[in-house]
Amino acid sequence: MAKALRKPQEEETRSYTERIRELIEQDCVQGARKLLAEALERGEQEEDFPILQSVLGPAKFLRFVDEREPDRTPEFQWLKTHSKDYRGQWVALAEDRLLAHSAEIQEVHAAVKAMTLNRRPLMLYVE
Amino acid sequence: MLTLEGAAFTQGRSTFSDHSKEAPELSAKIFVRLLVGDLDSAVIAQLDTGAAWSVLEPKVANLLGLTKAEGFSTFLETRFGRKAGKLVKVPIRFLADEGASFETQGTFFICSDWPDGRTFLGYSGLLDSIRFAFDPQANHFYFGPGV
Repeated sequence: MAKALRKPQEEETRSYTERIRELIEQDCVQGARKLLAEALERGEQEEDFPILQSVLGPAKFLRFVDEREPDRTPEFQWLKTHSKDYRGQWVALAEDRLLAHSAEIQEVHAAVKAMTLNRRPLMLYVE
Repeated sequence: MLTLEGAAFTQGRSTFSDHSKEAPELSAKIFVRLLVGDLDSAVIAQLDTGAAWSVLEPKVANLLGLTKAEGFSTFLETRFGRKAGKLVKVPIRFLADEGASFETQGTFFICSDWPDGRTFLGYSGLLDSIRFAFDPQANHFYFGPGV
């Protein structure tokens, strides 16, 4: 008598970390979170679990800050007029003033850091 | 700032841009300003609830030393193709025009092979943990920590 064909369930040989990585690569974040929770509930321990718990976890609220962002209309107006002259560069702006520009963000950052300003600059890359 | 059934829903409000000279696409997008790490200057990021992860553009990440920070190495399928990088926790501050700005630590994908100036705020580990709302007629973005 012929036996019923039944494919035995394949045993999972990959580590939890590998399986979680695969889920992350597939944008299955909920699946990755569930699998990590399952591993932790089973008492499994793998080297990447602490960092996975951190990056798969929710954003952590740190604090409220009493800071107001100024009206950036002057900066955007400057960009509208001048951005064509700074393509491929980082620019730092405060109101309608160009504070620094360079292809290297470090140079712009250093230049701005050396200034005393009463308005937080806006720094962006001009494509 | 915004209330829901009498209780505070969000605490801060900022004005967003719905287009950018730096991302010349035809359809409207939402660009907000924020601080990243201990950077003194505000930067611009595109809000993308459809993206699984936030992405921090590499020059800013490098400037803040985040390319060497502890993270989880992985590949992601992105609008710029399959990219290798790592997921890292990054402190950011949502800047308010009115109400309270707030700081949170969200998960960002950091990848050296990523176009300059393109920072995205995605869903997992960031937008899924905060409260936000839009007033598209006024270009207002309301935000606050989740509960």
